[in-house]
Amino acid sequence: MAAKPGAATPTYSPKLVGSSRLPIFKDSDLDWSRPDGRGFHQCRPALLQTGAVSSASGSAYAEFGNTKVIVSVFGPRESKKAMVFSDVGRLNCNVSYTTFASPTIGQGTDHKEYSSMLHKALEGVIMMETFPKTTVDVFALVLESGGSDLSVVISCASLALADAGIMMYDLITAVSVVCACYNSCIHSSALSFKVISIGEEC
Amino acid sequence: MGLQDSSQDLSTEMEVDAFRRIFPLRFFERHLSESLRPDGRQLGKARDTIVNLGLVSTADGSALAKIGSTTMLAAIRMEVMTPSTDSPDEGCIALEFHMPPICSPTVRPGRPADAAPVISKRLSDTILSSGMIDLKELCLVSGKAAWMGYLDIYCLDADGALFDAALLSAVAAFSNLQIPVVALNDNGRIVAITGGKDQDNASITEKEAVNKEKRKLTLKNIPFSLTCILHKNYILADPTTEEESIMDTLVTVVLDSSDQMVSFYKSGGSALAYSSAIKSCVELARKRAKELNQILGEMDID
Repeated sequence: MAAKPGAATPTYSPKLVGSSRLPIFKDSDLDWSRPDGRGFHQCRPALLQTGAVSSASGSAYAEFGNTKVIVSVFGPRESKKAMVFSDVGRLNCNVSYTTFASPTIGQGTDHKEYSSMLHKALEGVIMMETFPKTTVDVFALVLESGGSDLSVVISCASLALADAGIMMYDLITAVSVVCACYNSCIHSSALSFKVISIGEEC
Repeated sequence: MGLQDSSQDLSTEMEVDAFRRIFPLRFFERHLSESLRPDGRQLGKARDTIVNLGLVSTADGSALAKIGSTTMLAAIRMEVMTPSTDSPDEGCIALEFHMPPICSPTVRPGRPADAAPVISKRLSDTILSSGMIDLKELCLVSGKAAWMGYLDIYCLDADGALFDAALLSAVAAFSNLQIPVVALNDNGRIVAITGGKDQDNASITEKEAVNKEKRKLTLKNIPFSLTCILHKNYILADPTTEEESIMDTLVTVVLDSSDQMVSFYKSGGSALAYSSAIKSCVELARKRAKELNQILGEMDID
């Protein structure tokens, strides 16, 4: 576009790097609160909707605060990869991010491990013996990443599988938990203060 | 054509869905002879079109365009680059069209879809040659800094007429674009002025902002496109995936808001495009351009 041949010109974002990240913990503050005012055990309000993608066998869209995810399920369909007969079905998972998913410019981290983590989460709950010789494909696209991406993807994927009519033992959900310990050395009795916050990005 | 007789016999006994799968062409031709399509549309009518702006909070401009079920999400992010010496007053737009595996059963992860780079190239050629964007508006400091706009279009649901929806989402994203206010600091780098409390304002307040307020690009000659299928002597506007897979001759006409033709695209296919067919396609595209202009006009007012 605008025909500049050769290698891509290097660009930089004018936004100040690492600018507005307020520290969540302050040293001696025992009563800190979460930036969005939630309780420690409180999840963000969620929007979940099936039937987002008409071309797929089943699909779901999930919004948890700023984390927006679409999951499509295709199948059971013919496996292009399978060479041998198998009397249980196969599951194929893939999680990808849009280029504008993370607030920082650039790719962010690719999270290539999320595909196999999604596979591990789903393989226990799907009844693979109900679709022998075929494959069920579960594809996820993270449109915007606002924290707890993998847990939103897993919850959305189980909804999409239900929308596709794939037999499962149950619907599965996931949540991310952060555990932060605070030890005060000033007081004579060592105070160990465990704080558990859910779905926070640090 | 000996099959014709046997299918006539079978068709009286078969269910509609089975007939649709086994004899798709005959199914469609039955409808076309009544000047209708299976979803009840007239031949020259496009599907319902919806455009939503500003959905992606991490981008400087974004839009979601839906034509029927085909859904495209476009987002623009602005970064600063050094302009080339040939054109020190011009910025640049880098456009990329992605088809992630969620959008269609034909796309596999790890292997880009066949259609994606074709549509990517066609889109950037169309937007460039329509003159919608004046690259000089993207200049910040002549010879030193200019904007590079990264426009990424994601297909979220592929149900035919991908180029039309992608172009519409790109145009809508440009109309939604808000260029951030920036200033040149002492090191010769462009920095954003956010007016936030934590900033070191000393270096910035001395220089005035290079662009005065959050600016929008002026868009002239906005291109609108319509894809049609040519089949025997029928012309079907805005095809679905099913129609595209059965009838292989696609024609795309791109017109701008003053009815000038920006591009005409026909790549192969079994039907030949006679001048009468071309005229009809252009006429349909003209009507469609008016509809789309109105939809975008309603968006801007919001």
